[in-house]
Formats: sequence, structure tokens, C-alpha cells
Amino acid sequence: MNSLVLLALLVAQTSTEPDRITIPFKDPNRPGTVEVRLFQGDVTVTPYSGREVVVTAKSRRRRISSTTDTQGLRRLTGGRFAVTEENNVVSVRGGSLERVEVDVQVPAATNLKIQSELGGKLNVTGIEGDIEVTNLNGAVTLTDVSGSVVTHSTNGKVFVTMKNVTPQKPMAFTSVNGNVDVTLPADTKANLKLRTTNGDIYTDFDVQIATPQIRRLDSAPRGPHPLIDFERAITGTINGGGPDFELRTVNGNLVIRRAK
Amino acid sequence: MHEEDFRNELPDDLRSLWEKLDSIPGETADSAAMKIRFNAMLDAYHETVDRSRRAWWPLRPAVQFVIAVLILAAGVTIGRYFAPSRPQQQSADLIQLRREVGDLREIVALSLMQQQSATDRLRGVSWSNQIDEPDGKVLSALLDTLMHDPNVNVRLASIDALRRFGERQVVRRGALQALTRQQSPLVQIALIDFMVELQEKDCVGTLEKLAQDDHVDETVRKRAALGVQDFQQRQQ
Repeated sequence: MNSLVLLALLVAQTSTEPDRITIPFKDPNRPGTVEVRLFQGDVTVTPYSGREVVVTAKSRRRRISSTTDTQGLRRLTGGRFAVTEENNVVSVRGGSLERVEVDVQVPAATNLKIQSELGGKLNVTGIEGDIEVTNLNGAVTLTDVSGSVVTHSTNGKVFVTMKNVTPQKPMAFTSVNGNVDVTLPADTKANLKLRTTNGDIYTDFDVQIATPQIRRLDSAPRGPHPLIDFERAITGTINGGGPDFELRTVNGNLVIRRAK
Repeated sequence: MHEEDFRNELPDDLRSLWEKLDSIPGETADSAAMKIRFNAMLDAYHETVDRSRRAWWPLRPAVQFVIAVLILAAGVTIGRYFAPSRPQQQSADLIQLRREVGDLREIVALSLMQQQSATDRLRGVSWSNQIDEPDGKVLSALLDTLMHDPNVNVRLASIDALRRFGERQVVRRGALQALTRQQSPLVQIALIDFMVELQEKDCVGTLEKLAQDDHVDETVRKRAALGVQDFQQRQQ
């Protein structure tokens, strides 16, 4: 009986109410930039109709408070993350090494720079702008985004669907141990640089394969058995060519889909 | 209408002319005499033509050919001589223009590589690919990007851009230095491949160290080991 009560108390302490901060851009009339940098944790970015940035963070660490009487007092220590604004850049930083969940609501036209040092799930939906997402362990999922994307997950998969692509901007989607799966609008003009060592490359785009520009380790004269195997590297254009889109992984497949 | 009727229709003066014409005795074709006269005329013509041509035009085709070639050569030479010397001027202008475009591209590339946004820096790196003869500024900007850019994909792109200058010592040294400091597995792998491609023997020690370092990503260690093997095999 005693132990049951103790367990209930622990649960109550763990599920603390989230920290929520709303911060405006200095100039809301031009697209601002939101930077989120965590040590580890999940980040979800979604658009909303407002013009400010709403940051909601949940930590799994329980607060040290239970025995103190805090009735009627305001908590001054914002907790586990710091939010600042400077020159239209809102920056959210995880304050400690603990794992946090951060939800960010932003105006639809916002540039993003999201990084999780150790890892977590990084999700962005429906944002238009220059989107930069870097992860170590965990997936990067960008759904129905527009503009341009530069993303990398070392050990997770990279999954991107793009609604519109800003012309003349290079993009990059890379991983080491994950699949890279990118859906582009059917009329996207680009030079594709596709490279995987141990995986395969799939596409339903009509890729005009160029003469291989990437010189490979096996191109030089060598002994009877090439030590480093053929990399599956392809450069080619879609819809007549455009800026470079780099898709690269080592131990994964590359998939480039045409949006239907 | 008969001729008779037609004649009656004519005015008087024309009718009398018609009648006079009628009274002219018709020329009778004396074919033999005509043929003789014609042949005589033809002979005379041939004779004059032959004489005048033989005076300056050789009959042997080989000589004719040589003359034709000489005339052609003379024509070309004269043409060249009198043509305005524009082509050279034009190419000088073109070189000047190309140099200016190159300078402009350099400025654009360098300034883009300093931007906050990774997309812009990526653009800067790909601009540098369009500079034919980049000077030290561009190379050191690319090497700086390789060493210090916060974004993995931008660093990766800088390696591809530096590939063109693999024979330059500063690039080899920079890439090797980057390999010792680089943390991202993807960039490490690209640098290992670059080193092996360049046959940069100085890197063998670094590759061996990487291959044995427990803190380094498994894929990178394997790649480094393959690189070391590759160097050893080539030395045999």
C-alpha cells in the first residue's frame, strides 16, 4: 500500500506542466529565422496563423519542488531552455544535457535552423523558407515543406516531401547509416548528385545521366582486386538541369520520388 | 480568217507594203553553199580562239592545277592582308570580359560563403566551381569552409569543389589537416576517398590512426583501413 502511494507521487512529479514562451520577431513583416539547438531531444515545428514564435518545452526530469510551499509564487527560472531574439532570429537553446521535447509554432514563412547534437526526432511540417536540419541519432522528417532544404542525419533516415522548390538554390540531403527519401515537385529543375556506397538508388524521375564526373577510388590503375568497391554514384539532370541537389548516404538507399 | 480577208481589212498604206513584200523574191535554201559558208566561218572562229588561248593558257591539266592553286593561295593571302585585324582585338576583349566575369563570380562566391544560411553558403561553394582560374582567396575560402563550416553538407560540398585542385600542395595539406580534426563520418569518408584518389602518401599514418580509433564511426574505420590497404597494395 505504501509503495503504491509513493509510485503515484513519482508520476505526478514527473509529468510537470510544460514551459511555454511566446516571443515576437523584431520585424514580423519579413520572414524571420528560428534556430533550435538541443543537446538531445525531439523537435516539432508547425506553422500557425500568428506572427510570433511559440515555444513549448517538456522535460522528463522531475522538478525538485514537492516539499516546498510555492502556492501564489511565480517561477522565475524558466527551466531547461533559453529563448532569445536578435535581428529577427529567435534562438532556442536546450540548457542542459537532459532530454527535452520542444514544440515550436511559427509563421508559415520562416527560415529554420534545427540541430540536435546527440539526437532525437526532428519533425517539420508545412514551413516555407530555407530549412536546415541536422541530426545525429534519429530521423529527420520534413513534410510538405517549401523553399530549400539542407539536411543531414548521421544515423537516422532522412525523409523529405517538398511542395514547392525555390529555383536556383542548391540543396543537400545526406546520411551515413540511414535511407534518404526525397519527394520533389514533378517540374523541379536540378542537377542530381547521387551517391551511396552500400545501397541502391531509386527514382521515377526521368534522369538524364551525365558522364560520371565523380572520379572514384577504383578509377586509378590498381591490382587485380579493387579494395574499395564501386561506389554507386550518378550525376544527372532532371527537367533540363538546375542547381546541384546532393543526395548521399553510405549504408542506405537513396530514393527520389516525383510528387504525384 | 483567210489571208485575203485580212488583207482587205488593212489600211491602204499597210496593204501596199504587204503587196511589196509579196513581190520580194523568196530566198531559196541552197543547202550545200550554206554549209560551206558556215564551216568556213566556224573554222575561222576556232582558229582565232585557239590562237589567243594558246598564248596564255597551258594545255596540261597538271600545270592548270598548279596555277589554280597558286591563284587560290594568292587570293587567301590578299584577303588576309586586307581584312581588318578585328579577330585579335575581339579575342582580347573577350579575355578581358571573361576575366571580369571571373572576378565577379569570385566576389559572389566569397560573399555567399560568409552568409548565415547554409543554403547560401552551399550556393557560394557551387559558384566557386564556375571560376576557371580561382586565385588563393577562393581556395583558402574553400579550405576554411572545409575546416570550420558548421554545416556538414556545406563541408561536404567544399570537398567536391576542392577536387579540381587536388594537385596543389595547399589543398592536399588542408584536406589532410581537416581529416585529423573532422568529426562528421560523412565528411571523414569523403576526405579518405579524396586522399586515396590523390595518392597522398603522407596520409597513411592518419588513416592508420583513424582505423584503430574506437571513438571513430565503424564505417569510417573500415574505409580508412581499406585506404591503408590500397596504399600498401600499390607500393608492391
